[in-house]
Amino acid sequence: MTDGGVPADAASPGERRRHLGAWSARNATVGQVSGALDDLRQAEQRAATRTSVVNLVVVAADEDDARRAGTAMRRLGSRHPGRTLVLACQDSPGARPGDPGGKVGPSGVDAEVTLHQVGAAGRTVWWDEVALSVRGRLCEHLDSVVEPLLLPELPLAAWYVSDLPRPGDPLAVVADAILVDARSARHLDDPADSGGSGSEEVGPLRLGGLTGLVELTRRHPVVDLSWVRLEPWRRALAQLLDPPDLRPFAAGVTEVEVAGRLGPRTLLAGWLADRLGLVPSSIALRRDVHAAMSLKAATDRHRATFRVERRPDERLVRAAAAVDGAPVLEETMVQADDALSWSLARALTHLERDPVYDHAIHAALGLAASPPAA
Amino acid sequence: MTSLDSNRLASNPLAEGLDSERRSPPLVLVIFGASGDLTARKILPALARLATRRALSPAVAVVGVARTEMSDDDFRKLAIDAVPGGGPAWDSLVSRCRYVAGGYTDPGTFAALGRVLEELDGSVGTAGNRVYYLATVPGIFADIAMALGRHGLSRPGRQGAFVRLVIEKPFGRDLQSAQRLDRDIHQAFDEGQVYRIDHYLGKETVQNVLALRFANAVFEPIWNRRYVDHVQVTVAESLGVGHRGGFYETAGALRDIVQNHVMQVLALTLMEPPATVDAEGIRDEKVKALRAVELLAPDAVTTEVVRGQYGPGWVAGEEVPGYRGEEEVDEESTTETYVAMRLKVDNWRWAGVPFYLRTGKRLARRVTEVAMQFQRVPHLPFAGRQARQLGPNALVLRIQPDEGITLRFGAKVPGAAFDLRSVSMDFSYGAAFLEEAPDAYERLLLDAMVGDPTLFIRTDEVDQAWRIMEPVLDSWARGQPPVAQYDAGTWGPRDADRLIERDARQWRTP
Repeated sequence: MTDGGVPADAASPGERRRHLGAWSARNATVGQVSGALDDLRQAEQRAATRTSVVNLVVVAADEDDARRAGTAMRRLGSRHPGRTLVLACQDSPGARPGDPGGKVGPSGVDAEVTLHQVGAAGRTVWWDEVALSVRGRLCEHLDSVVEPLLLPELPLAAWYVSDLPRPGDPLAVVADAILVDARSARHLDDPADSGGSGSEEVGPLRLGGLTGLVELTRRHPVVDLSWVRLEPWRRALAQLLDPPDLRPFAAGVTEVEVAGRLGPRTLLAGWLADRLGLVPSSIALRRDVHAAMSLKAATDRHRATFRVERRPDERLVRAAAAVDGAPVLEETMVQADDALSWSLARALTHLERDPVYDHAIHAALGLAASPPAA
Repeated sequence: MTSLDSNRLASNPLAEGLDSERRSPPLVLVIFGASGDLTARKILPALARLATRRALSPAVAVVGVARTEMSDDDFRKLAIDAVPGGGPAWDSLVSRCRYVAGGYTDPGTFAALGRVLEELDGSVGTAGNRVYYLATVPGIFADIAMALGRHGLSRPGRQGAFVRLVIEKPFGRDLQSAQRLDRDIHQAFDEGQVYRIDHYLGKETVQNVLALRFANAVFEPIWNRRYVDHVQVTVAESLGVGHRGGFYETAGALRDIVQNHVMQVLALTLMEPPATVDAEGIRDEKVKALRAVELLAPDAVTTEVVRGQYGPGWVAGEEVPGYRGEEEVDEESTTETYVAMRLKVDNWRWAGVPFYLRTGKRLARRVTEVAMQFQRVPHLPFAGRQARQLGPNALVLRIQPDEGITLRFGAKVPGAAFDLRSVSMDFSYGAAFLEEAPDAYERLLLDAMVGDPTLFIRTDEVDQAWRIMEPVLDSWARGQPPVAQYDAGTWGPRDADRLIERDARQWRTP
């Protein structure tokens, strides 16, 4: 079944998106899916000549997570010429990787293949999306489904939307980089931590989730979308400390408060603890919808405060430094409208290990083991 | 665990891992010609984009200088109007805009400018750093540079500060005037302070010539006389001179395009691999390459160079006037709008390989490309009729539009017979990366602020490019060869075809 040239919803201003064709089947074989991709591209001569730069495989524990990731990716299409596979493991909970003890039904795959065209600034990019619902024991062998469908010789990014891959996960082993999101991954998040605003101080990620993440960074290059999204905060704070007369304060930070949702505040706290050599007792954590950092520092003669925050009503990260109570520097950074897609695009452009991140989560583990002051 | 090192007092520990983005240091950008067209059309929009991407320190201020009487607020309004929908970052930079009205040779102008600069050092924290951008007519570049020198504004006023001068082509009208301009500028500024812009070098795809040549092992080994039959460089425009007739009458295609853009593209094509891709590494190799271009003998200009001028015709379905019918153009003008030339390069890599260059206005379509045509195979083991549709291999670097690379090679036509034909394999940068490439001005402006001269033209490059133009200008001044006419919308005068057909070759149809 092919529906040629149906206009799709606009991704962002100035972008034109179309579906060039689609195909779907229940209980499909990987060979059929591969054949459908070839047929679609052959039927559409425009899509047959194209350039690809990356394979993205999304692994979701259920249809909801898969849908959420799919939306982010479709918005990303224009910045991601290549092939996207969205794998949702459905059926019983036992079908999930890492939970082999549950009930396992018969294996099978339902497939939907869509060929997309995105045009912006007079240029056109084609990408195909393969959504696969995988059932039964096949969930333990996703690599066998994925590998025949990859575009050859291109990097493979595996985005684990719901759970971290278990050690030895065959798909993770063949991936060039693992994408995770400390904000939304269910194993990292604390169900009690709804993210609502509150003044009470809370702890960082639970030890278990963090240990898994630290272990993962030892095995694979990990790109954390939360970490990518927090870059404007980190950059803003770094810029506050950049003028030579403010740099000495970096060595004299005495108190830090980090606010935000569980994942982001943990990453920022770990980052500050690592980069500034802080002890856990000097770091306080606070639950909030938006991330914020506030530092107090002193040198022999002066006291300074540094603050970075995003206010609820604007997509700006604001940063300000004051010395002895007088404002000395202000910075603002624009935050992307669609932060998830933006972070995904950034992550796919830099599929490599970030040692600063690895150190930050390691330090966060230290904070979790020795809870900060309450 | 901590990765904090013992040098933390000197470094900024939080900047680790974030250093990939370039950002201007605190400075004042002084735009001479602030009320002019280039400022409104190119410089202010580029500044606004830099501000929006947070590539400017919050301690960047702008001072406009021009003869037009304006207040600070008038200039701010001009800046806001020049960038519709500029956003909060632009508004914030505009609030740090000042304006100085006055003549470019009037000492009062520079005294006033000096006071404003000092004020900004105090109020905005611009740290004594200055970037002067001369967006005026080229005739007064030297006057402004020397006046800055006389008023003590061309050297850093404090320890660790910098002062830079940005000028845009044309750098002189010939070798002599270019050298005079440099002598005048060097009275006030050292060469290391001077940033000469050729916006072609700010284009992502021109820089890609370096990536293609020096980041890939497959192309460089065949990039020489052993495999290359000849090279064609085309810079074609479909537009006419439009409202620039008055300027164009004094310039012509050779000065407007060939001396700078074409010579730069040629230098990147010819040059040897630099040891390092840094400012001096690349510019040294470019100068060496241009120096190897053989000068045309005075009597060779008539056979090796064709100049043309467009007559009326049809371009892209529209009837257009001839050059002599354009605004502010002399009805009997002999200014060339088209140049084709054949150059030889005397070095080991290129000896014997002809370089055919052409540029023109009102040609069939807008395209800039470098095409290397390779030699034919030493022996073609197919019957002549089987290879009728087989052309030589070619590697084409398309610079604009639709930037990319095309490789042309032979393939068998499916079927029982063994027929061959040429096929093209296209790579389009646009389809590989939809990342937005920065506009050329944006890129170069930031480079000048950061102090990276790699993509700017050094004085000896300017001299070398003029050196190649000199015999042509001399011959043309004597009326030789006469200006050939071509119809707008074609690929140039018939003489240009004859220039290349003499060598049993032909121009590509890009």
